[in-house]
Amino acid sequence: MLSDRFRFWKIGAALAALAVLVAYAAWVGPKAYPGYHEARRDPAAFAGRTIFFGGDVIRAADDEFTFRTWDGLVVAARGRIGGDQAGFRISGTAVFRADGTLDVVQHHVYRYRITKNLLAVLPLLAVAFFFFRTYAFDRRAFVFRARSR
Amino acid sequence: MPDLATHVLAVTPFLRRAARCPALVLLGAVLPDLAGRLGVLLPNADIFFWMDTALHTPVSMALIIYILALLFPAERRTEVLVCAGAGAAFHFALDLLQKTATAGNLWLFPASLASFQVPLIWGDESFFALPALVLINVLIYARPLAALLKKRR
Repeated sequence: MLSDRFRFWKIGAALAALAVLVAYAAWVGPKAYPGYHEARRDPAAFAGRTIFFGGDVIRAADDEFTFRTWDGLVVAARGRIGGDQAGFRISGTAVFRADGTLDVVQHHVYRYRITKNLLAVLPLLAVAFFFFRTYAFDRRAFVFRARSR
Repeated sequence: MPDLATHVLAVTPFLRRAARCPALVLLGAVLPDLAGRLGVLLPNADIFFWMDTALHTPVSMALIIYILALLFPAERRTEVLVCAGAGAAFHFALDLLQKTATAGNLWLFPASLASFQVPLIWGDESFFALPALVLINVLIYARPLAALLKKRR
């Protein structure tokens, strides 16, 4: 498994296995966890069923709000998400109605998503710095070697 | 998933016990979040979501760490598997503690699409723990760091 024999074939096989896993998830995932797009393609079948939703809040009123999906669809939803949430990412579960609107069952507004993403930069740089200070890539042998101190 | 700063600072207190391969443990601790992000350029966010979800699983991570190990000399591959694997396991242990509003982590994928969590904190709010983690790291590393600096002088 870990020897040099057929090393590149082993790497290729592992990459192919990853590609199969991703394709499998993209195929069966929406069936196990149907989202708004699946429901919209077949509204009659999904009417009254609980689906997953997500997007960016455009406007929030007392007990209703609208959000925009990743591909620009504007969706009206009934549910109290509280306060001024416009501009924040929201996701959750909701009951799909045949007219394309949603009755929210549970949700979370990601108010700190940008902070979280910004906080990822420094540790990434630190880990990359530490890793490449410890190891150097030998292009000829196609392996990482420990740098001599 | 918690932010990467939390993932890194939660694993650093244990690095003194992983003196042989701290860089690999740290890499393992960020690898699950990095792998899925490769699909960020995909035009379809639904496919990106499932790519991210599929790669952010123990089975996919085992394959990715296996590939990583094959990128090291043969005599170091077991060490890479153990160290990067420990970092990734620590990452998943923290992810297990988060609340999810949609499909969570598919721990048993591809055998099952079931998702289970110990819902303690939302992923985007995990950075509230950072001050405590920074303090723990300072307490652990202040003395060895001071000794190292004194030695260099």
